[in-house]
Amino acid sequence: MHFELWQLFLVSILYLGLLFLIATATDRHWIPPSIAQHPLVYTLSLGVYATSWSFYGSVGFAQKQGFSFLAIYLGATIAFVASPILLRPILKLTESYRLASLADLFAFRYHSQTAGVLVTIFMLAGTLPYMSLQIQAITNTLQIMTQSAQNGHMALGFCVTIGLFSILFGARHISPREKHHGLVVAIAFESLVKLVTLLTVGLFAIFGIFGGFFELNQYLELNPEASAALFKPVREGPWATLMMLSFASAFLLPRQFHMIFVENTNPKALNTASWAFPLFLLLLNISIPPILWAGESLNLGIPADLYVLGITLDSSSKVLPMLTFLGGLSAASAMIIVTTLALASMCMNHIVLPASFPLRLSIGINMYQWLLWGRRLVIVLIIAAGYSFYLVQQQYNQGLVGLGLISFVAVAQCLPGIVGLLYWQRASKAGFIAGLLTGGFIWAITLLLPLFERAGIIAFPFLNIPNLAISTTDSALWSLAFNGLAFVLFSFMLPQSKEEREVSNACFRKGFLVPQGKVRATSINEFEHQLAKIIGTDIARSEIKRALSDLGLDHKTVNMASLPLLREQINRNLSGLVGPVLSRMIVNQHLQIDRATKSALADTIQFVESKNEKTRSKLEGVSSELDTLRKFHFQVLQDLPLGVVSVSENNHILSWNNAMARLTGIDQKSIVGQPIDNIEQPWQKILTSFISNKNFQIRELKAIINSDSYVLNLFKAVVSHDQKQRSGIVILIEDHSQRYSLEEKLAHSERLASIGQLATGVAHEIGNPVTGIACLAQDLQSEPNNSIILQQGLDQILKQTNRIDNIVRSLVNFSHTDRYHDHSADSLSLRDTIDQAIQLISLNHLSQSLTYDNQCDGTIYILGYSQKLIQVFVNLLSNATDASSQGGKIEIQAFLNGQTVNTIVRDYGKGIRKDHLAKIFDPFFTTKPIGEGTGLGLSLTYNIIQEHGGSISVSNKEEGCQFEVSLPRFKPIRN
Amino acid sequence: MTCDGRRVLILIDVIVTIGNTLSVDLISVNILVPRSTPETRPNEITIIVVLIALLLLLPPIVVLWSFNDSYWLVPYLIWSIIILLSYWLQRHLKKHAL
Repeated sequence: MHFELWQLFLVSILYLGLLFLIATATDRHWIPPSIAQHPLVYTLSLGVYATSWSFYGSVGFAQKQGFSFLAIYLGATIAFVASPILLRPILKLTESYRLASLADLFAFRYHSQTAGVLVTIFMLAGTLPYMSLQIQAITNTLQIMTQSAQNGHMALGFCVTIGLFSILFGARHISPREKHHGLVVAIAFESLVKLVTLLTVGLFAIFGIFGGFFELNQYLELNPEASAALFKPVREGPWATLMMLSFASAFLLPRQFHMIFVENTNPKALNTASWAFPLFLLLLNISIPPILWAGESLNLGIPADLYVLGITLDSSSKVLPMLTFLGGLSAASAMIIVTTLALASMCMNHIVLPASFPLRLSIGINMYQWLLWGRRLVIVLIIAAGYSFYLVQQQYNQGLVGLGLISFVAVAQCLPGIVGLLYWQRASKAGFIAGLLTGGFIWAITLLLPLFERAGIIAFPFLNIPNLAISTTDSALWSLAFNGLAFVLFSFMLPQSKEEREVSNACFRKGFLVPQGKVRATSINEFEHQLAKIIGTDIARSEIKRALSDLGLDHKTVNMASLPLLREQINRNLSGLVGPVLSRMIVNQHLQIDRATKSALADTIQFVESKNEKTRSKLEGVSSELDTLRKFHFQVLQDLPLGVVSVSENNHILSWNNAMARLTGIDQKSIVGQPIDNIEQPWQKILTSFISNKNFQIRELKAIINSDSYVLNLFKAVVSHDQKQRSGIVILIEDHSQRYSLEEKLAHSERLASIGQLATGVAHEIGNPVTGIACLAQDLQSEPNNSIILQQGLDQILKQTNRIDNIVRSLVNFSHTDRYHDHSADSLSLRDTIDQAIQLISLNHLSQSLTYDNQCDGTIYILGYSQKLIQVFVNLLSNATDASSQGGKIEIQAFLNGQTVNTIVRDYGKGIRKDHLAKIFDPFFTTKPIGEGTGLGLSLTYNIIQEHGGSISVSNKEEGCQFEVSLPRFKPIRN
Repeated sequence: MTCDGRRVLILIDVIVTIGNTLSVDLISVNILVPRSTPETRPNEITIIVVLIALLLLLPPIVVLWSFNDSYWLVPYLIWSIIILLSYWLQRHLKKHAL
């Protein structure tokens, strides 16, 4: 049976058109995302692993190497079984750092553009000829189906269509964060076509050719050598080496890396793929032995590589060969499309962009468009290169058929690098490059060059290259052995640089890239301005907006502490566009860090906290324990009932606990990382002045905040990493406002109680002048015309009323509710203060028989609150009065003692019992009968003096006792 | 029972024995890791499953199922066992949220 070329061309066009339709339907959401992004679709898309070499070539491989052909898929199975320890860590890295290809991954891990360039060149060298084989497979198929000579136009048309599809659906976005869902679904559909086709051909072989399973078994019993030929190479052939090669290829081949990691939308889909993809491979290969035996039984007279097509052409059906043709077309087109996209990404990031760096873009050029069209151009060039190889292959006939495995060996050279990346933290750039060059050299001289020379493409007249040729598996072993050896040796000899070590730690989850130094830019606008110099204003704005969105920030909430985070995020996002090395160069050049300046601790803490929040679940062992301890300490600080503020050396807020947030009404999130100057008043003033104050504590600081009175105790301590270096200051704030308020009420009550005790005296003091005024009034009434008496009488009345007024005024002043923190302390004359206290105490009837001798110098001034200090002396004089006997004397003396004034209140009464001396200032301690004293007088006196920064002591003398009050002295400024 | 059937049973027995030995060695006796923790457990279980899969596919075990007169579906049966192990591994990790 044969087909006309136009029929196959039409079917091809219709099939590729269907692929376009599927991709478009997915991108336009005509296919629901729940289906398009289903894990099974993702798994099927990984079926790009099976190329036309698998589709057609497996039968030929099985004929030559028996079941060894399964090793090509069993190695991939092992790689997917090991996905929790192999693929998942790579997926996390590619996602976190927006790595778009294998070259990006190595360039990132080994901190080297050279590594990226080498991997790219190596992948190009290993994959381009393999791409040409896919075109060859299609043209061979056409040749057999049409039974005519090869048609070059068909190959060219195929390449053009594939290129168009790759550009339209694979290069729609330039960032790896934007997934190509249409491409994934189309590739998954192609895998499904391959699977269904091979299963159908397999069933046809069993039921259509043999007549059923029973007949197949009969054939095998009659031809035991057919089955034995499959098993023998497993025991004797390069089974293990093939498995190792396919293990590496399963995730290192550019197309595999692209589909597994770059196009992954859901990490959980990898879990499904870890068993579903091996199942796909099993189903894909289960038909191979029956097809082989069917082809052999039919004596088709064509190479076993084409048995898949050959046995269907032997049938009477026209559908089956056409389906097989489509299966082969699917295998070839999927491989070329995805490989082209993966290679284009590598070439752009590691060859084109580094060659044109710095990007000489004028402000008018849109960088996104530049990159997008650049990538599209590279796609065209790669497909053109593949087509050129195909033409060369045509010219030199079948000399390149071994390129499938040779490509696998090339890719496997990255295996030591991956092992280092995932499991060996000391692996260095030098080791990786040396290993890759060594392995690549052995691969080239033992496989690639001999193959090209055999095919007649190249010739080395002075060197007998074919003599260097060894088997593919031997070459794989030797190249990998020397690659690994060089990798280890050079890693030991040339250890990692500092930057490399940081990246290595990040890869090993032992840390993350903490920005060292301080970002020079001070605002987001400056970031934008700097970035615009290289990527244009619009793109810079767009990238910053995108990075802010990734961080959950916006222009309003961003602050100085967020800038390092923003810089890091921009670096990652740019990495997706231009590769990790160039993005780092752009960021380092244009968003510079002042490494001379130690990074702001606030910035670092915020950065580490935000990263730690994301990676906490991944901490293990001691790190996890330490993190738990750290969280506990952090929570202790957060829940402490004292306000805790820590301030960095450059006056940025490092921490702000819950009590501080309650006290100030300033939210923790909005203030941490901010300069201290950004805090609302009066807190900014309070904290700034306290930090600059040489004293390490301030007691009873009074402040009015939002019309409320506050009394605060402030303490501070210097925080140091070590003995020499100061890292910041921690400030503790105690809020005593409530206690003070209660004490105020208590003091007021005590004053009222004092006035109550004075009531009798007050009545007497006021009664006497009133009586005098009444007598004078009577005199004036009796002699109204005597001007002398009238004048004297009026003078006396005024005098008496003044006396009453003084008493009332003193009482009112003494008894009113104190609002002492509405005003600051005043300079007071000690003598006047004591006189006022004596005047009040004189209202007490007991005081009538006593003498109060105020010996204080009128030039002594103290700093304090008048009412409070009067209360102090009223309490002291009242006690002295109570203790004194009739006719006694109470002396008040004062003398200067440096910066303080010592005032002595001395009585000559009965003194204080020795056992009472220690308790006399305790609240509610009294020696008076119940109802006569509250026991709060001396306690309040003590507190008031403390509040004034003074002290009080009591001692018994030979006769009576003595209170000594020490208060801060005030020096009036003299002109 | 056919020769193939007996061989498969022997093979399964060998796999179970090896699996048990590995489990004991790796988890209880702590050959690979000094102490099993919830964080390291997924890796340990994965390593065990990968080692079992490799043992099934590498010499000398491979000799047990690759005799000339073995039934042609035996390699696929071995492959299926590995796929089932991988499926079990994923279910186990998901179930225990490891």
